[in-house]
Amino acid sequence: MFPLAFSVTLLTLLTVLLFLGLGQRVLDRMRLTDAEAVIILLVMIGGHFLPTVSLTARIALNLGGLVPLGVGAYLLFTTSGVEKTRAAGVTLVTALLIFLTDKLLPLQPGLLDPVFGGGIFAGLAATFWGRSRRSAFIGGLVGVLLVDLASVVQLWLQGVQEQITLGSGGLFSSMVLSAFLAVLITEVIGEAREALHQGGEEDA
Amino acid sequence: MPRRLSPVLGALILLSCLLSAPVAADGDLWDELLPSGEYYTLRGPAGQVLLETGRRIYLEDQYLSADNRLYEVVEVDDEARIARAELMEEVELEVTPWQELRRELGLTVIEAADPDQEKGAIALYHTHNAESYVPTDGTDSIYGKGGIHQVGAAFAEALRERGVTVLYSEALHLPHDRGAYRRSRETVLELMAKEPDAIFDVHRDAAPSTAYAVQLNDQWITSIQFVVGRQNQNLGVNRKYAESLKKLADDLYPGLVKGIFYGRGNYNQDLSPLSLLLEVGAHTNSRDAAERGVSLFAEVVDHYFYGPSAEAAERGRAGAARRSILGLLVFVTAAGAVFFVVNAGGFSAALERLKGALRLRDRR
Repeated sequence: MFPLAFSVTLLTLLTVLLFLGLGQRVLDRMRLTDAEAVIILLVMIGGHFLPTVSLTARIALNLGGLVPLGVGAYLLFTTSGVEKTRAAGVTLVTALLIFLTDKLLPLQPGLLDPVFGGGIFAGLAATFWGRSRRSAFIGGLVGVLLVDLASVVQLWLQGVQEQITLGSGGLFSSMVLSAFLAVLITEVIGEAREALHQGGEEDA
Repeated sequence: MPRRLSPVLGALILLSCLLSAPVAADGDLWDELLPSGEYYTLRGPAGQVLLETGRRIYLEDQYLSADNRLYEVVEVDDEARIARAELMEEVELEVTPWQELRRELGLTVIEAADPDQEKGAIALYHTHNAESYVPTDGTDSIYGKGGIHQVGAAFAEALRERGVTVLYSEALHLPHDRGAYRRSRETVLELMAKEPDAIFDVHRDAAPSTAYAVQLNDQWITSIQFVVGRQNQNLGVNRKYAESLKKLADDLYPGLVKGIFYGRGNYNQDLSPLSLLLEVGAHTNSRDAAERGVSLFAEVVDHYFYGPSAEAAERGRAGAARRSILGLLVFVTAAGAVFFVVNAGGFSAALERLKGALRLRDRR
């Protein structure tokens, strides 16, 4: 008998559905080919199994976290200068909002769950800023990472000696979840606005 | 309006909405949810105190009391920190074997235990690493590994003494702020990759000492409260799981589990159906009492997962898993085919599309 992680199964199913056309419009808007999208998903599956390694006495890195970062870098460097600027802006806004809500909202999850907040902020920011799915993806991904890095700096300043682990791979990590959620939000709001706009034109 | 201003304006609008949301009572930016000594009181229909907790209580939160009465919160006064609940029903608890819970989600389809292994693994971690116990640790919060880590270690040790493999992560999820659950999600994913049978997030509450102090077997221990998040798709199974553990605890050690709080939030319980948050005593209890309480709870966990009721459910599992694998494959294939045909707009179109999908297209 063979064991198989649930998230890997889900990713496999998503890959199959992708071949069948699911998310076609989202991929179109992110200007990804079928091959690129499938490779990205397969690489995410692989990232789930990568281990955590100690870099220093204070920092450990989950190698799986490099996978979504690599994907984000690929999306960023294969796009225009304007898009790069937009992605950077969305990322900074997302990171700032995550940081502020972490500090100002109540400790326990409830209003605006901290796991989904990054995706929501990146999605909304990207929607306001040119409705860019690529920027939404990069903003959700890197925004969460920036806040984690800021947390590490804060702990160093506060003299915490324990080792901190950065990053995680897999579809359900907060970084990847934020990225996909951000794209989904941008797509949904964009489609809704288009539908309303078309409906208004028909009434006229 | 200039186009460049729209994203800035949008972000400002969003930020102002967030800042108008409820904030921690204490103005200190780095502090806990409620200052030490402050807590919410949940009162029942007759005004009786059902629960005292440092967790913020929201409308529609539910609480299963020690005597198995389910209450729902109907009114909350955040200034006075008082909430009022109405009785929904008296629950007849029963123990649902954990293999049956996993089958409800189809998980036995994709996992099969090593038949030679007697006991599996239980995973433990702490989202709020800093939580400590004032009488023993001298403070309610130690910025690093707090007293809660020693309670976790006691839990792990008690399980190991019973022959259970323990995956105990002491990874830090500091700073002690709202982002801790986002950071601990990565720890949960790492632990889940090792395929434990269950995962526990070990915390302590913030409440008067009397809320958790209980005497069992002539010893003072702290009782334990379960917290189940209402905002995740596994809520139904998590509820049955929590109730099963409580039922078993009630039989083995009456009074050990003080109740189950169904609160707003996710608590990363969407990642696994057998995931539970434990409040082991409060900051006003001694850590030694908490360690004794959680050690008794280890026996309950061992009994639930590897005891007589679990053995009975194990029989016929292998056959059920084989049938379930075939069933899932058939279901997924059928569902995918239906989706494909509907999306394509008919059988002929679907066939053409399938031919086209096999040739990778350039979308640029």
